[in-house]
Amino acid sequence: MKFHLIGIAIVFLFWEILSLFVGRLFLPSPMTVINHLVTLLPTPDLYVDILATLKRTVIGLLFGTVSGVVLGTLLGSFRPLYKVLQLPVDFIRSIPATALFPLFIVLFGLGDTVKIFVAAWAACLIILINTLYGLKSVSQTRRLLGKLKRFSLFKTIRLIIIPSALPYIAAGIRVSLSFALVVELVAEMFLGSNNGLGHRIFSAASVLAMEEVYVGILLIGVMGYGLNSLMLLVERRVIHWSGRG
Amino acid sequence: MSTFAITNLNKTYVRPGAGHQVVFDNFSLNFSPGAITAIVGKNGCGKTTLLNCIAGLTPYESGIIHINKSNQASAIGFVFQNYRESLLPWLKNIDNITCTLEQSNLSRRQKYDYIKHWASERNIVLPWEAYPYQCSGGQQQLVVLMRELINQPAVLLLDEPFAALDYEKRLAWRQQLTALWEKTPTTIILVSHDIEEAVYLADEVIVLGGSPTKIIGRHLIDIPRPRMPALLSSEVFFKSYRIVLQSFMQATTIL
Repeated sequence: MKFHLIGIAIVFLFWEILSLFVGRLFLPSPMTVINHLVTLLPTPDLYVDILATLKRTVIGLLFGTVSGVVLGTLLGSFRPLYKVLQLPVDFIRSIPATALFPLFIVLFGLGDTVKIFVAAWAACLIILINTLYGLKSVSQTRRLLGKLKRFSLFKTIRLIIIPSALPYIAAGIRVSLSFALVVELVAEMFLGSNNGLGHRIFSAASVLAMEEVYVGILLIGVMGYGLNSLMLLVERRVIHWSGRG
Repeated sequence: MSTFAITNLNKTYVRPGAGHQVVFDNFSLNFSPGAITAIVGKNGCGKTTLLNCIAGLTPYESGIIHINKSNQASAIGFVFQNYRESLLPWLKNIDNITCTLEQSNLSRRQKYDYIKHWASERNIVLPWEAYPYQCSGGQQQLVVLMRELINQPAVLLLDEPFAALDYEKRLAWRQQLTALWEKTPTTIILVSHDIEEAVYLADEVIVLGGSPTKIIGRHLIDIPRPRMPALLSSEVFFKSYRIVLQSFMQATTIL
């Protein structure tokens, strides 16, 4: 806790100095931003925006996780399918999700669907690859154990394959968490949104309300940190063995 | 007790681009039932392949591996070289044993009782509710050994399980193994690269060598049990050790 406080103090100090150089108008000092945040706290609009972003990110993550695990499992289990789709998957992975916005708009319009879809898309591609790695990582000794003890296919999957792949999938979820959030915010900025933190930042920036902009940025940071911490907590309970002998 | 023999085993490894390697060419070997047989030989002499063939983990072209199972005995026990990895870290110690227990007609609770009863009969104390990673190396070994012995296998295969341990821990492992074996009789085949260990543990040491694999020597170790670590410095032990070592040296010169 003590170290966390020191860390935060250093960031604020750096921010303060930077704002002196850049100019208060474009980068307000941390205290001004925090004061502005406090004045915003009683306004219901703030919570509407936070919840809108949170909801779309989390739902997108859920869809992305499920589809990523399913696709990864399919590719990992059927060698010919993997060989055929390896190139297309790697190609599509190299395209930033944001570059595909025009296509997504055509497919899903400008509503909530498209903004959930972009988060799901970003998450799915990462989790797909991690699932593949997870399936490949099953130790040879444990496979032999299953063979020796004549485990059924179902028992092998339940007792050996899924637990072996879980740490990789969990790592994938944690990485895609921040990616999904980034893509979500960009989507809110550019895909005609009327709520969400991305929309709040974008409209504040267009009228040079910089305090408002940095309140939004601060809140996004808190949201990302919170989601990551939550995920770590779940990991420690569910895959308690991971990284320990 | 069961009879146990390998007759006319043929096994060739086919490596794409690197040609064939004949490991066993009409290889025959019989084991004394209920005894500990140690197999030694230089690396690549087919020791591990032999175990994998017996366990049914590696296919072979032809030959008969005959394990005459008594009524109770069923599966083959196998302690892998990296036995720690053969434990499933996501299962508690007791569930690591339960998941391979063959009494499938029992409920989960009955299985737990059966395992704990089996252990207490052999003075085994283990933290059942703990996970393997929370346990000491010695406790992990016990879990593995129990998992392999509780089904009363007709044969227990050990593939250099002591290889990664320091000398002191190896001595403790040996005592643990023989103590358990005396209370749960079965035929043990121990693959080792350590002649001292082979002589100390086994009733018979078989030296393998050559390519394809041949039997270079069979040496009965006529030292009474129980054997204690003090034996290691005795004349009786050295006499057997010397004979096996000479045989081993001879094997390494044969190609």
